[in-house]
Amino acid sequence: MSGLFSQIHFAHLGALFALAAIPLIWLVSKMIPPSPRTMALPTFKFLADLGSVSRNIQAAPIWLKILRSLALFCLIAAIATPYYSAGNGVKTTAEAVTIVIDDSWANANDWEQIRANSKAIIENHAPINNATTQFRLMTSSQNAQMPISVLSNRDTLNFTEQLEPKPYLPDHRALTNRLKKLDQKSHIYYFTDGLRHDASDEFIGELKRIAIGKPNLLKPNSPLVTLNNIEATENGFAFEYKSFAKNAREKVNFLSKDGEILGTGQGENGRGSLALPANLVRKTAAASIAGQYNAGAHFMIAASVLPPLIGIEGLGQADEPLVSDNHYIATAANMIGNVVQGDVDNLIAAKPNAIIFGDRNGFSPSEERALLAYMRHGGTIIRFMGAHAVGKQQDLIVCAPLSATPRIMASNFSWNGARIEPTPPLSPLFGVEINEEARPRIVSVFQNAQSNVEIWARLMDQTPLVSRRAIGLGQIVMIHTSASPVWSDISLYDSQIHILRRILQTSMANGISANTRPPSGEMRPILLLNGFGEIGQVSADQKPILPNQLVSAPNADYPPGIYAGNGSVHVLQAASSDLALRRLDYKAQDFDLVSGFAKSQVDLRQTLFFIGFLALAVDCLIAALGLAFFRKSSNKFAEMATILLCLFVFSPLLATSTPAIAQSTAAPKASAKMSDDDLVLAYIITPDAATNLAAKTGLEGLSAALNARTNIRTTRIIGISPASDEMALYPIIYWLLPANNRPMDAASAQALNRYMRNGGVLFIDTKGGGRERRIALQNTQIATRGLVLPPLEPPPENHVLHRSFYLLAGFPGRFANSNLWVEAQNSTNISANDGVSPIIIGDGDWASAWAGGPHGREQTAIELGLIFIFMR
Amino acid sequence: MQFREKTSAKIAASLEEESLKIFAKINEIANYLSFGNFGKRKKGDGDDFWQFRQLNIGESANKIDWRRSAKTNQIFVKEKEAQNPKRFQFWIDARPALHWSSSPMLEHKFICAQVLAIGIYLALRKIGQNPSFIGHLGNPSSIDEILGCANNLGKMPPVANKAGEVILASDGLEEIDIWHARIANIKSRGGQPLLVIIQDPIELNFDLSGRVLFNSIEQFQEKVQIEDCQSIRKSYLERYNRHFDALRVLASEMEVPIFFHISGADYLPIAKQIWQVFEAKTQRRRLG
Repeated sequence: MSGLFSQIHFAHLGALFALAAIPLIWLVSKMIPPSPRTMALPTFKFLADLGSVSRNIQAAPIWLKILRSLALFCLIAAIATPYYSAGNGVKTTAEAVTIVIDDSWANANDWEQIRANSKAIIENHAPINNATTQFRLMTSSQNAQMPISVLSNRDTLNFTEQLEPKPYLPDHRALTNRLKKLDQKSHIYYFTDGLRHDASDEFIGELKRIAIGKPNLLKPNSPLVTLNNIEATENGFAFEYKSFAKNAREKVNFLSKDGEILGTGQGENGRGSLALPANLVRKTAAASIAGQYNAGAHFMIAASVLPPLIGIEGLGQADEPLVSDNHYIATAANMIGNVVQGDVDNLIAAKPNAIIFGDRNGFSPSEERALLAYMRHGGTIIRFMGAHAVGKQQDLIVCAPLSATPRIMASNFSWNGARIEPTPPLSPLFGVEINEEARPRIVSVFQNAQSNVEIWARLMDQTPLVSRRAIGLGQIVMIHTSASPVWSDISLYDSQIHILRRILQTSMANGISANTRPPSGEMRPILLLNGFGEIGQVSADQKPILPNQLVSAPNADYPPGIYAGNGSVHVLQAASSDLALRRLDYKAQDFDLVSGFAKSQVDLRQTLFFIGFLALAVDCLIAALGLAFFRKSSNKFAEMATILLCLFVFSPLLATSTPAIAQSTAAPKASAKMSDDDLVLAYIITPDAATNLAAKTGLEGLSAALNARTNIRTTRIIGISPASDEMALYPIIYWLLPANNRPMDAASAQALNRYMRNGGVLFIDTKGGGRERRIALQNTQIATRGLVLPPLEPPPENHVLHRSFYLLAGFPGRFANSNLWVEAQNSTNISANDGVSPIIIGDGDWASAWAGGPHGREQTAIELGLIFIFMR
Repeated sequence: MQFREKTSAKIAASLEEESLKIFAKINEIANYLSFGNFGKRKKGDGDDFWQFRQLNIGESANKIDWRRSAKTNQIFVKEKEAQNPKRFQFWIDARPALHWSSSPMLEHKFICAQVLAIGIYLALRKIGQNPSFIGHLGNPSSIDEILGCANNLGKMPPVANKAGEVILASDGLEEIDIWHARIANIKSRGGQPLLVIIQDPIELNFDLSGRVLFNSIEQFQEKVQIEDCQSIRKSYLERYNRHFDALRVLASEMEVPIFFHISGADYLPIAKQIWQVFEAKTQRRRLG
């Protein structure tokens, strides 16, 4: 017990002198006894002279004195700012403390714990308001030239609060150089990321040099897994990951740019694969390891590494396939990417990355118009210009008009054509492997020299072989020979496939990988990751990657992300494929291994204020009850005064207790201030982060539409947990179901039932349209388990959803044929909610549609979303 | 009967629950009392027809009702209802001290006085008497009118000659001299006073404890703080009982019946006792 009290400290010890005033309570209680009951009496005249019978004024009872003394004691003690310091073996000391944190992504999994532990260290060494202890806080991301400042405990706490993990690995060499300048011994706390980096040994040696006793080491608790490589395969993706655990089995989520999980691959022993349909492969923008929240577990996938969608004309089976251009084009296209066949209109409708045409006689005017529009919007057309194409002066789908006379490179007595000149570095075809024997025999040539046409490849005699002209956002690329061996031997070798692949890469978003072809200009960041593996903001002053400074590992100047520009793209991964995870050998180093700190310091102020005001309130309440019970009812003034007194005493009590309650809850989201006129869109937080992100992004799209089209102002998008958050603030709550949905707990179900019963609308989006029917049904059943649902039906013709401002024929979300169910018209509860269905269930993945923007089907989806909001 | 229908309709339509309770109690007293022997109608010398009966031998021929007798072979005498109205006057003390009760559960003393007085008033009307309230002309018949009268009684004005029975409902706390003068005044004018004293349990027992600051009702500024009520209880009760003993002696000497009712107690026993006094006086008058 004495030990307990010895761990209670006071920040303002002087305030305790006021406790000397407590005996005054006994005196005051003597002088001011409790107020007597007041009573009118008709027989008052019989009391005359009896009032002086008892000369001894009855003092306050002992319990009242104790109550008042307790109140005064608690209030004085609270003003003295008491706190309980558990210690955890760390003694309060005036000696200096140095905290060193590896603030790299490798520590991001445990970042909150690092913050809490560093706070505990600071509080243990320097109690509240005690600024005698000197602190130094060093992080591995700080510049080598940065001086080591001495901080107060408060500054150190503030600094710690603001720390975020960086998306690159620690620079222990810089840390070592800084530590060398430090001579003063101090208590060392080193938050390692568990990895051994360059110069780690030297760095640890410096730590030991300046440590008082042994340095304390705090290692991360969560196992680190990094996703190091992903390659597109024929069926989907193959991936590689690294971790310290043997036979580690990891799940890798493949995500679209909206954060939607397109598939999850299971990996074992550092490798795994995922079979994915071609259309989903092309949507894939990133992958991340499930359960890991760091940049190293997040792998960005540039569009250029994905198989392109290639459109080729579907001309049916040629009579002589071996001399047909389309045969060779189809063969190459199937090896490079995914092929879509059809006529020109069908091809354009499929939105391929590029359309490849063999040698042909121009196009009809309507086809020309469609193809020009396709290119202006960013499409690429690749044409083989053979015997049929030359001399067509009216052909608009060319880089420049061709001469009617081709150039014959081989004589009648020689089958060997002209050699292809090595491509210059600025050409997209630079470095393409071209077989020595792959030579065109006949090439088509321009009628006149063209200044706006780029020549990507030439023959040795400078005759253009591959030319390109930009049209709008897109381009046309001409190969001045046939795709078949009729004019050229190139098609007989891999060279034609390599050339086409490279050309197709230019058709992909952002350009050709800088690792494939040296960039011709600077590449600016278009997407950056933070230390948690989240997509962060790209600031205007972010340095671009210069052509001659291609960085392979991220650092403070070049955080991981996608950099693009001048037709090149460079993806800087946080954990590249050549990253070697080397474990820091804790045992070999002479450290004190600290597993963590409990909350070391508990502020007792609020508790004491609470008890003090409670005691005062009880005192007032007793007095008020006594007055109210015995007072004549005519004394209204006294009644009001009593009520006001009670309110006055209780108000600080309530004010004191409120933050205490708020602190005990995990996330006070719903308590955030809101204007009455503002609408907050809410979605239910699921265990799946990607689903949460998709729901949030979708609602952001809907919010933007609301703000743009209506006078409703949506201020925020908020994720809520039904069991813990107040839902009455939100008129409609969106629940996007994840693929691996789990049954919700009883408290959440009760809260949702209560929400629906009290007039709220729950909109469950099962995303079932994109899932197998059986799985979708099962998923929905799991989600609705525990919910009290009315009978449901598709909205009838006269339903408000059909008759609102936007007259909708259907309810398309991401899928055109999405279904929707609402409360049946004949339901007994239909009038309980003003005729509005408390539940809407759909399978359209509207979040994806809302996030997509105001185009096409998304437009209708947004209109449906607006109707949902208006319904409330 | 007409009276009851008229008042019942008004009560049901417009009065609040609390008033209804009081009316119920008043009616209960009125009904209870009017069924006694005192309330029975008798033949007499009034104006209203009572009954026909056969002529007894020896009776005067002047009494024969020839119209009725002509219809049969018998000789009938027409009897009239006895109408011997006795004068009953009521007075309810309306001093502020009576508008008080020691507990919200108890009725004010003024209400108690009203219930008793009006209950007896109504019972008297039912048996054909013609009671009135002192200070008010006429005989109010509806409960509204009765309450209007009963609420507006102030100091007792001079009572008319041949005052008959004068029922005085009060708390009896005024000085004995005042009561002596009041009774003497009524008697001098031929009235027969009857005192109904309403008492509150707290007044009677002074069952209080702790510190209490007492106010005078008549003079609100007058206060006296008692630190321990139990310590003065004995003294208080001595003074209280001495006062009412003196009042009893005065009543006895001046041959005035006096009745005590305690707030919260049943009204019927005290009403019955008062009624019995009226019956006894009537019988004595007959016998006399």
